[in-house]
Amino acid sequence: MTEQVPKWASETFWKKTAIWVTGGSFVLLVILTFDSMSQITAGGSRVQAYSVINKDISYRLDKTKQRYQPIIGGDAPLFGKMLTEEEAEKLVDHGKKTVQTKNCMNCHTLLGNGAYYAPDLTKAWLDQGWGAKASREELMVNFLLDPEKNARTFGSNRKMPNLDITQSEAEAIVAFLKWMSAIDTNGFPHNFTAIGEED
Amino acid sequence: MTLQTYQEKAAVYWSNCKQRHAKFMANPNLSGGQKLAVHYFTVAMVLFMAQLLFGLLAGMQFIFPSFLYEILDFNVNRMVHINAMVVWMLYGFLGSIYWFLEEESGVPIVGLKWGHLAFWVLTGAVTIVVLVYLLIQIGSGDDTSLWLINEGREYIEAPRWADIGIVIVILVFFYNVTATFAAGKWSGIAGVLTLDLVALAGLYTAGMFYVTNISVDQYWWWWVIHLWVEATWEVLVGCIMAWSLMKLLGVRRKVVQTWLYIEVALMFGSGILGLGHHYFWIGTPEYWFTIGGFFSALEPIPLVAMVVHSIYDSGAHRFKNSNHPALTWIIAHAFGNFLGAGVWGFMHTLPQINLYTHGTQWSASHGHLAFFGAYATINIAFFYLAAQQVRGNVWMGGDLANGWRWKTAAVLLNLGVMGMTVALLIAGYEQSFIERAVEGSTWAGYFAAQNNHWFMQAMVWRMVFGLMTAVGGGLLFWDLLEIGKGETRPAAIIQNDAITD
Amino acid sequence: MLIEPVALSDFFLSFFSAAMIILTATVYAGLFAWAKISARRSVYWGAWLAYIILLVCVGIFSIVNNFSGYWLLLSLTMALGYAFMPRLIWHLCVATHTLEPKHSHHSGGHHD
Repeated sequence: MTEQVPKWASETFWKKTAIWVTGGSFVLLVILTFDSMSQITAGGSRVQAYSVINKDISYRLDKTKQRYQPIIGGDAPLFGKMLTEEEAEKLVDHGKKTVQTKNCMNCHTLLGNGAYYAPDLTKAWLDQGWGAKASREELMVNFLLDPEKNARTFGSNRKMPNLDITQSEAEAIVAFLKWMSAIDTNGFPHNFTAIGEED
Repeated sequence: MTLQTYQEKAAVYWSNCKQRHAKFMANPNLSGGQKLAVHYFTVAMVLFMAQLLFGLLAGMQFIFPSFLYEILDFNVNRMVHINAMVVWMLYGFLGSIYWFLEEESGVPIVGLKWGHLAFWVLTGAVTIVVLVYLLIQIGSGDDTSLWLINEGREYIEAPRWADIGIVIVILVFFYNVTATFAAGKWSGIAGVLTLDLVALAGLYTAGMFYVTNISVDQYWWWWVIHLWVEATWEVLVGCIMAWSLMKLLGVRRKVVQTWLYIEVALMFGSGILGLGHHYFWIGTPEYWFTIGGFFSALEPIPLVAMVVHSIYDSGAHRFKNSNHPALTWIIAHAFGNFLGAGVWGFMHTLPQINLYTHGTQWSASHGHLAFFGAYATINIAFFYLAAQQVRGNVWMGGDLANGWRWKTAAVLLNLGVMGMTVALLIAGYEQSFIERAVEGSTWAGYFAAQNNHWFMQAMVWRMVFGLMTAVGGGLLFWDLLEIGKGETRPAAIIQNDAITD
Repeated sequence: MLIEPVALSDFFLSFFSAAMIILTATVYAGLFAWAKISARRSVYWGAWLAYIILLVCVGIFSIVNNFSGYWLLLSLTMALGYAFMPRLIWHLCVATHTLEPKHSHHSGGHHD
């Protein structure tokens, strides 16, 4: 047994390589994470401030970027009330918490992540299924309060169950959905015609 | 029957259980750590059955939406389905490590009592969490619900109290592993295992806080999910495989450890930044397109490396094997991992196509085959190794009594999962086409795709193959309880000095 | 524009060529290793045939995914990477196993 393992195939060489590759990748990930965090903090251009729920939100094809992007318009207060940033954050926070505690994500997807038994909620606020912008808020709240009676099954017989959502929780969910629809998701979903954008 | 007769029956049943447990604890074929490992394996198998059951219920609801409506809704079934999977796989890993810890370190486990305590605490906690999932299901939109009922974040729904409990149990486990290695022999496997467990526990804490901002939420959520499944779990399996190769096939330690380091370099090198493929559409910056795309293309490299290496090995060694079921499942692992993670992963990973496939049944198709191929198979292989030792290291090769059982179970499970995967692939293809590309992802588009006859038929086929999988699972459970009983021929002794190197 | 999504009519080709890239890369790697072991010429040609199919698939994949600019680097990486990776791994196998006696597990109390 006189043959020698060449250096580039030795245990120590690969041990060091493994450590450097892992460490290097991780350091890079941490740096990218800091940058990503700074870009997705609420209030930036990618993720809007919570008070964006005071504004009209839409979603259109950006011709230069060749992809769909959220469009923030003029004042359109949710439930007719203009909220301060703090009030808006509190409302959206309550909505997000309710979305978690009602386990929405195990039927729906949010930003495309979750389960596939019910439609994606990323642009739920902008869906044409609500008919007209004027009646949308009320329809959404009523649906959440009694999804069985106000079922929107689109011929599928799949009905959302009653999740004992209260009036304030329902309003908070709507606020959360409106805020989420303003996130710049790099063009996802594609080809989506928002409510009020039908020509 | 009166309450008293129930109580009497329960008392008899309980004392039977205690007797069986005492008998098992006196098994002379197993070391202390291996007995603890079998505890983990047993619960893993029970949870595997739960995964199959709740998968069937959820799958049924796609075909009959009113089935168990407002009793056990889809979100409950689906949550138990995926949580049972994550937990049974973790149980399998923890058990496998306890299984070889003493042999690898050369000393008895330092805190075996603590290990047992942690096992019972964890199992009790898992039971409570599942009961709360099933009986309470959801709470009102406040912190109390997040702490006590469920956190509503896919895969890591466990309430906060359970999160903390899991971390404590993992710390006990971590202590047992490192302290045992420190007391005995430290090895390359020990080093990789220790660092990997630190990463495993550390990453879990990235999923233990609440934030309002859903982009930030999902950013960290993927740290847990992706970096567990596509990095730390893979390396954990690498450690388990490395030990198995030495122990079972007599491959030399130096070779095994060198390859473990090569695998770590390849897996972490591609897997850590491969995280980028989950950051295309959640609000994160555009540079993740490039990073996610490039590193996803690298992720199949470890798989290619394994193919070359296994062919090299088959030429260099003449392996004797006296555990055919385990070997079969390791082969199933090689194919399943390659197809599920490699082929199915790469088909829809680049942003150019993922724009349409993200959040459709494509992910379900990929998920079923990848989890099964990469992790379920390897755990099952290890369960068979354990079963062999439990029965006194008996022969489990050819012409084994009742050999039809493990063979049928393996065929049904593999065919079943493959069938589900193909059915879901058809559904995903149709969904990405009609809902996403044609209809532009509106709710009407979503339901147009769900109501399409291709989709509906795919769901029926998924159910058929799901039932096949479940039958296979049941057969597997039965086989593990029985295999090797009454067998007197000893297993072939592998010439092995690798362990003592 | 960083990416140009796959056209509707190219969906199938995108999935199919992606799957074929991984499959042919593996077949190529497998045949290459087998050719080394068996020293059979036909297997060696088989490996090259698999690689040529792989190249065609990478080409189709790059076209239907509308690769342009630096995305073409990915095509190049795949074409070159999948060609050399199996060779590299093979050399590693040979080199790491030099300490092992041939065709036997016995190493007679040797210590590293």
